[in-house]
Amino acid sequence: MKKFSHIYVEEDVKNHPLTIKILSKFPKSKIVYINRYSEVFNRPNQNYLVQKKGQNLIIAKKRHDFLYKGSELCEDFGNIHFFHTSNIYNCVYECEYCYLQGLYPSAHLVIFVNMEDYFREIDKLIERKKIYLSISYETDLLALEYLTGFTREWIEYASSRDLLLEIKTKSANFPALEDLEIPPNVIFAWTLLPQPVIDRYEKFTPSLEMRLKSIKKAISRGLRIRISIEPVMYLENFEEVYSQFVKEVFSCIPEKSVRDVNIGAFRLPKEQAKRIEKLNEASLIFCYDTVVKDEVFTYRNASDYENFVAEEVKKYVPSEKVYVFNKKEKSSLF
Amino acid sequence: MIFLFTALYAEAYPFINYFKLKRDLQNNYFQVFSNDEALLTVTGVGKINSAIAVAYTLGRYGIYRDSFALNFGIAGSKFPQMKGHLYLINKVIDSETKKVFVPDVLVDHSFEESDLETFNHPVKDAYRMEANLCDMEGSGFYQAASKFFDAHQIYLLKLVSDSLDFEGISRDFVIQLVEEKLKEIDEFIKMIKESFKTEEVFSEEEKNIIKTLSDKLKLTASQRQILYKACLHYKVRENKGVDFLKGFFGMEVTNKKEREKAFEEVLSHLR
Repeated sequence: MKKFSHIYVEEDVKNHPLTIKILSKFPKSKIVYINRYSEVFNRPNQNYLVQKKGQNLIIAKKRHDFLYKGSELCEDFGNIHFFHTSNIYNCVYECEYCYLQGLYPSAHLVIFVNMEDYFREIDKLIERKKIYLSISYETDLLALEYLTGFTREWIEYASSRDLLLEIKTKSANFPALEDLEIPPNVIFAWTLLPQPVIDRYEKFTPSLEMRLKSIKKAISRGLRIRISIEPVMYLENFEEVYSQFVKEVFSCIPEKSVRDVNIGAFRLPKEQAKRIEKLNEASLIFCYDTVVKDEVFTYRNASDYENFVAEEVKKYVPSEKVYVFNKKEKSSLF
Repeated sequence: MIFLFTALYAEAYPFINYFKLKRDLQNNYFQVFSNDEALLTVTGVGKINSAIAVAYTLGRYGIYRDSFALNFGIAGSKFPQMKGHLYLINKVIDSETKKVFVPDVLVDHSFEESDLETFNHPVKDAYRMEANLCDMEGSGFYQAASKFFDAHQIYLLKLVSDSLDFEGISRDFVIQLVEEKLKEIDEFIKMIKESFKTEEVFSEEEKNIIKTLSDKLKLTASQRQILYKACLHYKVRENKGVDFLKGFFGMEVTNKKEREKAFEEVLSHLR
């Protein structure tokens, strides 16, 4: 099965410049014109796991719901007006713990090309309040930069706006933005996990070494980056693996270049976990000691794992820069 | 198992010979032919007949693991140059409701692809057609099949018999046309079967061990489920089989208390 063997294009955006640019990169793909992306994306009985192996692409226009309020299960770093948005649904990586499995009815990648409409909506919102906006929750935007150029557009947009923008990524693609001036209100956040965890759970993602190289490039441009150590996944020799990992990370990245570090154990909304288990009951994520607490599916010893990693991180980074996910404290903000 | 659906007997006849299918004489409603790997139903003409036949067939014969549905039939085309060619359908439009159905084409195949429009009547005028091909079953087949199958398990293959002129279409012509394409279709079917084969976590022997142990310990339905999951997690996590559970076959359980104790004992070896 080949990726992007078929590209489904909404009639409304078939002449959009970005659509034309994307299609030009896939001359061998079959193009199928559709009225609405939902004709493909929302079909009944789609098999997420099979589709992931032969992922196809849908090019569409976003018509409503440009912004979502940040989830309670995501770190907000103390920002009250926390939103996320997405120009892309689904991801090219195949992380076994990812909440996107079962979130949507389809695993195919949807690219909403009408960036201008997103900017218009956000302009309206930031007139009233200062927002913290994460733009890479439903995908890894930087990983798809070669295809869309969205990260560049977001950075250029943010440079003249009063908002805080977070770009979360596992990619090693920072060099694609090297020529760009990154304003201080744009935060790059790299998700880092030990290589044995990457090998086991994060199919098709860059290695830890590659991610660190990309981070070094960013730091050399004067950026202070965010490090997300999440989801902390349990594995045998947990303490040895994670302490070695933290040591490796901070031997590469000087503390002064770290804006903050957030740490959170593997967790999923209960219903989401059920859906994922239905899709793949033999997934390793279900094979360790897990529990449902306050409607959240997580490890029974999630706090212990988080605390262990946090203590390791604090050996290199002052504790005021370390955020450990804590659902109870956060719930009062919503 | 592949479930084949054709509207006409003439479309089915070459498949019946090629796959050596035997008629199900117990079925009084549809002509159904099968062997161990394929089951073919002659649906009759029209989208409603097609939908009824799909629902009836799958309800009566059941769906096997890794099975899929294929609608095969002749179709008309706007373009004379498409005549005699076989197309895998990537979009179905219902001409009556204007609903669009998009099969999930995930396999690498050798056919050309086309869209298809399903009409309630034979089409003679190209200007009525939105799609390149037309038939009278596609949308009914797809809608019914999508109630039973995952989207990637539903396929439509259309062989263009005419360019809306119906010229020279006879029973023998259809049979000959289909026969010429049978080898290609067979290759396609084999490829689909290979592409989506799923591997089971447990061997047949392991499944028997889990079942026998559940019976011997007189486990409740919920305990059986817990034991199954514990075995599954153990096998995936440790990468080891569960054959060692045979060692618990000798456990005697005569009351609820003993059952609980034995159950916990078994689980402790799987954690």
